[in-house]
This record gives sequence, C-alpha cells and structure tokens, in this order.
Amino acid sequence: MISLHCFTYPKRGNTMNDYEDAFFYTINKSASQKSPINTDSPYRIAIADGATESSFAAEWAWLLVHEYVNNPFTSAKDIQNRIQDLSNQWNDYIKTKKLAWYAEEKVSTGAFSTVLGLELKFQASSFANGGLWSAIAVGDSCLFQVRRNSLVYAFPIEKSQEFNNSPALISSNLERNVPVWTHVLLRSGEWKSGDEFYLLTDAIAAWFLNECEKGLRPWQTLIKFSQDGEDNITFGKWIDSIRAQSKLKNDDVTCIIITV
Amino acid sequence: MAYTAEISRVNPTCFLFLIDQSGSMEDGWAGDKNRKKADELALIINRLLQNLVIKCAKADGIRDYFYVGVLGYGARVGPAFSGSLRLKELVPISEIAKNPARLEERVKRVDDGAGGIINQKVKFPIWFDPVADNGTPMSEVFAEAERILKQWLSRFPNCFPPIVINITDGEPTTNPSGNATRIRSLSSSDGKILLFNIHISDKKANPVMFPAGEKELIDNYAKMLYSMSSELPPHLQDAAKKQGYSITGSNRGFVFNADMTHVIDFLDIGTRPSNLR
Repeated sequence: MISLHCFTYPKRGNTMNDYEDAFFYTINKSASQKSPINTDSPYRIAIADGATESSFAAEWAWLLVHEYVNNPFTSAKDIQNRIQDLSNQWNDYIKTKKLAWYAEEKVSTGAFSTVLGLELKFQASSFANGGLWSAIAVGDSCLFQVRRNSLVYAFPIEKSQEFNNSPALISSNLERNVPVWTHVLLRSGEWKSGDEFYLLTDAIAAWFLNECEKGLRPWQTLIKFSQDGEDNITFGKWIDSIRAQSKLKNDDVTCIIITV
Repeated sequence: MAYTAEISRVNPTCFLFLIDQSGSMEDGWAGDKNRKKADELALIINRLLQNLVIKCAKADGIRDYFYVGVLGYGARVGPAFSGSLRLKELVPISEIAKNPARLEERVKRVDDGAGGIINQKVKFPIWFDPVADNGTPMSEVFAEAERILKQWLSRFPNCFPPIVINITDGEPTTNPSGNATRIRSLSSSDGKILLFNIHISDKKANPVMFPAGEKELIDNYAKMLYSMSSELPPHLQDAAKKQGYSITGSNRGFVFNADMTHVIDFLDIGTRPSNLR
C-alpha cells in the first residue's frame, strides 16, 4: 500500500489564484486519498516552484511537472534536449494573451522555476521488499526520506543555511539556461516498506531542516496532516501559526507526503 | 535585523525621485555638447520607472509592491507627473504603468539564440521629457520630500525603508545638506530612509558606481552629493556584490554619470533566479 497526500497554501497576502508552485503525480486521481498501486510500473511525483520575479511562472512550473511525470528527465543533457519543446508550449500559451507593454517586456525575460522529480521503482516479487528511488533536482525544492523516525536522506539541500533567494532555475528563455545545466543534480537510493518521502518547496523545506538541526523531528508534525480527517484547511491554519512565530518564510507552500 | 522587512502588497515601500529641472541641465552631458544633461536625466528617470513597473508585472497585471513619487525642482518645486497623474505626490506603481505620457518604439539588440544578434522592436514608455529652467532649489525639494515621507511612514510604519533618489548636476542654489541629514534620520521600524544620489555632470570622466570614498570623485559637487548619500546597508551590499559591483563595506548609494537601475534589482520581492539578469 502506498499513500500520497498533497497540501498547498499561498503566500500570506495572496490567494490560491496567485499560487505559483505546481505538482503532479501518477499515483492517485485525487489528493488525500489512499489508493492501491500498480507495482508493474514506476511511480512518479514532481513539484516545481515558479519564481515570483517572473511572469507566467505558474504555467511554466505546471509544464515542467507534467513533463517529468509523463517522461522523467534523466540528466542535464536530457532536459537540455527537451526544453525547447517545453519553451515552445509556454510561448504558444502566452501568444493567446493580449499583453500590456510591461507584460510584453516581462515575458521577454522568460519564466523561471525549480523542478524536483522523484521516481519510485518496485521489486518485481513483492511491494514489501521495497525498491529503488531516483530523483532529479534543479533549484531549491527538496526531497526528504524518513525511515523508522529518522531522517536518512535530504536532497538537494542538506543544511538550512544553504537556502538563499537566488537559486539557478530552469527558464523558458533558453539563453538563460546556460548557467543552469551544471546545477542539475541526480541522486538515487533504496526504499523499504514503511519509509516516508516528503517533497517540499523551499520555505517549508527550510523550516524542516531548521527543526532537524535543533534535534527535532518535523516529519512527525507533517505526517499528522496525512492522517484521516486532516485536510488543507487545517494545514493552512498551521502554516499561519508558524509564519506568525517567524519560523517560516512567507512564500507559497507545497508539501507532498508519500508513505510506502 | 534592519532592511529585511518584506515588501508586499500589504506592506509596500515607496520610491521618491527628486529630479533637477534647473537651467544648468541645458548644458552638455559628459563632455558631449550634442547631448544635454536634461536628456540624460529624462532617460534615467524613464528607465527607472520602467524597471520598477516591470519588476512588479505579473501575468494578471501589476502588483503594488511600490508607491512612487516624482518631485521636480527648477522653476518650481512639486509633483512632476503630467496627464492623469498630474499633482499626485505618491501613486501606486500600477497607476504609473497604465499612465505613461506616451509609448515610443525603440530597437533593442538581442541574442537570436543561434549565436547572432538581431534588432528587436520594443515599446519604451515615456513619463518625462527633458526640462531645464531657472535655479536649483535642492534644499526646498528635500523639505518637501521630508513632508511626504513622514506621511508615508505614519501610514506604513513597518515598511522596508523608503528610497529617495535625487538626480541632479549638483549645482544647488540653496544648501541642501541640513535637509538631507533630516531625511536620512527618518526611519521605519525596519531602518532609516535611504537617500541616494545620481550625479549627471558636464565633465568627461569615467562613470563611478557606489564608491566607498571620495578618491574617485572629480569635483566638489560630486563630493557634496557623495557626502549626502546613505551607506548601502548589508542586505543591499550583498545584492550589489551578486550584480558584480566591487563592495568593500562602506560603499554609498551614489553614482557619477551613470544610472542606478540595478538598485531596483537589489530589492527583494520574492525569489529572483541567479540566471535572471
């Protein structure tokens, strides 16, 4: 059995119409619902965080997560080979819009986004035997693997102080991607039945690592939201409370919890 | 820590530009008799406003992270916008975006993505045309700025500190130093107001960006404007370093025969990719 739960919450002062993260996955048809899985083919989950300082970033993030889930990126070269097509899709969408002078100018710089993709593969014999995972990341969206109440893997950022406000991100403007290709990171590992994976955008990922650095176990807080009866509204109230305590940077939040 | 307040639609900050419209702006700029200082000033202020607007542009329109005022000083001291913004002291950036005096078409040279350069037509908004008339009442414009900034700070006491950018050839008819000091002493809960100066000179000399001393400055006007300029706070120093400026720790918000468009990039309104330049 595998479960996947998604929680989203916009930046304070914004509504969900302004939310510029994106996520997509091949497990469930709807969020917050346990579902049996088909262990013949891999599971894929992707999150992306569109940059505030670009426009139509949510649409760009959306394209990236769908592309990964439908056909996972395997290397920097692979992304490089496929980014032109994605950029064309983004530009085709923009062309349908009537834009003011400032919007035209902003669009010419392109949209920017992180992307983090996770693929879970299963042992042929039995789900209980676990399997392998592989992940690819550009930017500061993070993956955490937790086993028996301990953090066993953090990717691509391992310390909270590594977060900054200007990561290299994938752009719909191909010229801007030249410095990005060296920042494409790949990792792989093993998973066992009972493991938890957390895919988090940067603000909540920074909170997660901060808590770990204090010797706390932040996954215990997050996993409660995935239990039956918990929902996005409760999650949002909790986000408000930790923002009020200045424990969380004011930013869009996406949190995907996978239990295998 | 100072200068870390979030800039958002619920907690915006303000930019107040002071533009020298005095008679001496009629003179040639940087040793070029065919280009007036007033032309250079108009280019700088239009480019600054354009960049502020673009920074706030999103798919659904303009987000009002900034309120902007432009005070002219020359034959008179007061709001310098024309058209529907006339007489307004501080306006949300979305109103500025919607109300340029006109849109001109200009040619920009851009990479064609295949190793070549192509000319691309772009729209360039004009809010201000060159003006050069009468004296340089810089002290008076600072007094007016102080009044407007006090009102702003009472409305948004926790904002990122307002930024005042004075664009001038530095030949004041009234001594501005006292009023400049008073402006720099105003503060929000996040730090003191930042007063920056752009010196447009008729002298032909290399541009100077954010100097950390008077050594490179060629005349007393430049030195006076430098002395009135705020030091870049650590947060902006870091941003300036990322933009490639040489920062030693006591650099001031002063430029000589150059523009200051990058100051807008220094401000944090959310994730700014390192590959967005």
